[in-house]
Amino acid sequence: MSRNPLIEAIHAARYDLEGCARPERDACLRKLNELLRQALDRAGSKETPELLLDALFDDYREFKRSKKREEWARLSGGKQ
Amino acid sequence: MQAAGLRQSWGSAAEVILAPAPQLALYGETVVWFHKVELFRREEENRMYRQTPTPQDLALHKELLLRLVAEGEHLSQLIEQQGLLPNVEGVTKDDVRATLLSLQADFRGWHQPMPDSQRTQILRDVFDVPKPSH
Repeated sequence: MSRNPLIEAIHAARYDLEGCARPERDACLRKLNELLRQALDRAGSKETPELLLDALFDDYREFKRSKKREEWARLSGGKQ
Repeated sequence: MQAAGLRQSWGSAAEVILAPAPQLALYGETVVWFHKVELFRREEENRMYRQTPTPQDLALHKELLLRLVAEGEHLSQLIEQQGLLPNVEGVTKDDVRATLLSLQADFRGWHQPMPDSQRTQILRDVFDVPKPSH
């Protein structure tokens, strides 16, 4: 299945929220919420952003794992 | 220059050093909490992402997250009442809240997973896919 750019953007925003500098957390959360709201509005869905985030968690976990793998490979000079 | 103006010109150094004890304590607890969250994230990466977590890892992950969330909720309540000292790092009460929400979302994801049928329905409704491709 092809990747959905909006799902990718939501995952990236959640990943940024976890790792950004402390004074940037609120801005990162706002960005994440905007993307969740955009997805819900586009679909005309009445679900909450929180529920959508929860529904995406399993996929996010794999997204994060693959991002971490890239970081670990970079840190070990591509040996992983 | 008036005393208040002079203090202001000294920025967060004067604010923090001369702050009333409760506000200073709250600021200190907030800094420690952020540090705990960062320690947690680092070890979470090792135990939950670099490898397949064992049942014991999952149990401790749940316990640690619960503690961090409880502390974050308590701090957020105190910050709402007393405010957070202006600080050189530029952290605000909204940054504390955002960090707390991120932890709460992770707790739900790892330890209170949504039923498959509900997940499938939401993803189908919003993205027109039963399950994303990761």
